[in-house]
Amino acid sequence: MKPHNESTFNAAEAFGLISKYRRLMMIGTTLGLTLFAVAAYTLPKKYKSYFTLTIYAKYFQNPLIHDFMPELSDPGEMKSERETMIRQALTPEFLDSLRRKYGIYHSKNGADAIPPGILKRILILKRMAEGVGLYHPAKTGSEEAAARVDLLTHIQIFDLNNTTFHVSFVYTDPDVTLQVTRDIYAQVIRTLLETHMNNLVTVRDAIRKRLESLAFSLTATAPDPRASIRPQVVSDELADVRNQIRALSTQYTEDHPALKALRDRERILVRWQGASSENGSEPPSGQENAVAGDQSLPTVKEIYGDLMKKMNYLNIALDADRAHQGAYFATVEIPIYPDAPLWPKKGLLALWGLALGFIGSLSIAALREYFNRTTLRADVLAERLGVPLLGVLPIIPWNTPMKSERGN
Amino acid sequence: MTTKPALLQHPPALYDRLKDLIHYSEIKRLAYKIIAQQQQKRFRSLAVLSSFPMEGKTLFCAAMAMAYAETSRASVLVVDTTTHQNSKSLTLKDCLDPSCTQIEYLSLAERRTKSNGALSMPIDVHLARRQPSVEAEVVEGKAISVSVIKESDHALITKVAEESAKQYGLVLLDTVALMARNKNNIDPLLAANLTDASVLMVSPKLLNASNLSACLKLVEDPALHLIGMVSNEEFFQ
Repeated sequence: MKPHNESTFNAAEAFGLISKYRRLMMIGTTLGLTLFAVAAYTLPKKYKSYFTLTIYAKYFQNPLIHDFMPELSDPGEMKSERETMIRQALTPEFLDSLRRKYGIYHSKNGADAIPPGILKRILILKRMAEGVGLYHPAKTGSEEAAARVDLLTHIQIFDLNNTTFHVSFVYTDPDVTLQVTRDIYAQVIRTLLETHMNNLVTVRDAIRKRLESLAFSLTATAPDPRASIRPQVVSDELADVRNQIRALSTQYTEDHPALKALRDRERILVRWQGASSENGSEPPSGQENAVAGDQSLPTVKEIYGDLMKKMNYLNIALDADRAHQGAYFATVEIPIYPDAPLWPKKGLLALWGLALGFIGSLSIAALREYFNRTTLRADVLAERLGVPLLGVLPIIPWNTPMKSERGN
Repeated sequence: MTTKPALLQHPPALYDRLKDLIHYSEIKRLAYKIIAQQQQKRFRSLAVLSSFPMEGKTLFCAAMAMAYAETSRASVLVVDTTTHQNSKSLTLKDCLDPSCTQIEYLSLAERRTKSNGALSMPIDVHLARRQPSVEAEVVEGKAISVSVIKESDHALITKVAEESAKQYGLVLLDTVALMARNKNNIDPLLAANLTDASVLMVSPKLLNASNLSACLKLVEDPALHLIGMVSNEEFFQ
């Protein structure tokens, strides 16, 4: 029904429109800039400290022990293994220790930031909701877990390449940020070294145990020095054998071959134990040992020699590890004090404010112009009725004092 | 020189405030255009119409009376044809300075009430009686009274328009809104028909009205002698 004017903008009109709405645009842009500038100063600041760590491939590859521990050679597999090891360093115990040490995160999400009055009302509401079954309070354990997850969100780990990882920590206090990052760095290094060392030690212990077992077989005619030097080993093995006998006897009869073998072994060990306690060794016969290990003497000798060689390698590897712990890693960047906040960045926010204010005011101007052009106006109506528009009544400022009043 | 204490000073009257209006260039331009139209179309009486209440008729009448009187140095009669007014609307009488000799005020409603249908001075009673009231008398019941009132309004307006035109440079008739529901009002269309010319006040209220077509249909009648439109972009609050 209403006649509509042309509502299209063209390039020629652009300067005219900018001139028409320049005041609005200036105010909008200034407002946006001011708002964001204020926000830049009032928003809580976040600081970031980080370190960059390279874990070499030799961490996973050692020629001395490759017979026992499978080496990783696939780059993708090694990369995921590296990342997993860094993440494994952030154990719940470590995160809890950070909480206790620095009071970084709260058990309830941001509850400390809520004013007491509002917190009290929230608690009343929670109690009411709990009464009608709409709310279930979180268990203590789940709260702690949530808090750990919250802390983990502050720790970022990402890879720069297959071997190098960037680990950072973000927090509101720059001092705490630096300290926590240093702690994380130390924890990661410690975990990597311990894991590597533990792997070697575990293998070495297993070999040693086997060697000690085999040693008795080799000393069929000669007394085994370890039987008298290390009676504890004999006692441990005896206890172990007896435990096995106890476990198997619940399921099998005494005629079972495994039980028979264990009984034989028990007898030998008891004899050795007695002999070592009297300081006069009476080692078992080679036949007895061969029966016990179900192996012939030359084979045992061969295995013993091989294991002894490998244990020597392992000992060398362990010694090398202890001596050159840093050889597996390289710290590309150490944690440094964050002198500028990560967020909010004043310049960036000011730019955003400027852009948003300008775009916002431009949009408002465009909308106003659009509605001005599409809304029916008095002159259009006059034209439609075929009569002139005689004039426009001025907008009278009814609330301002009169001229005469102002004059007085 | 002594001045009254602030508490004893009266608040400024509405007409005092409106006196400022004639200094507005828009009002001056309007007055010049009305004078130009007057010279071109030879009219003396001008009905001020609007489709809806509070579109600025009364304000225009008061402002135009003052501006016209000052510009053309001629006297102006401002006729109030309204009977029932919105409480938020301006009252024409309050908008005019009683001390101003060039502007006179006449309320048709008051005159109609006083005469109870029969006209009183300065309008010629006999002329009013000559109007076709005989047909109305044969109608029974309420129709009779309505018909008689209509005839009286007709006579009243005719007399005001004809007789006052000789004494005044311009006779302005402030009417009720065209879409007003009150049947007791003096019909604005009748007022416009009986005057030499009429102007239509246009405000956003009309421009945004859902029944714009119906409103325009009313003013498209050539018998209204519409000489132009006046835009009022602000609602009077």
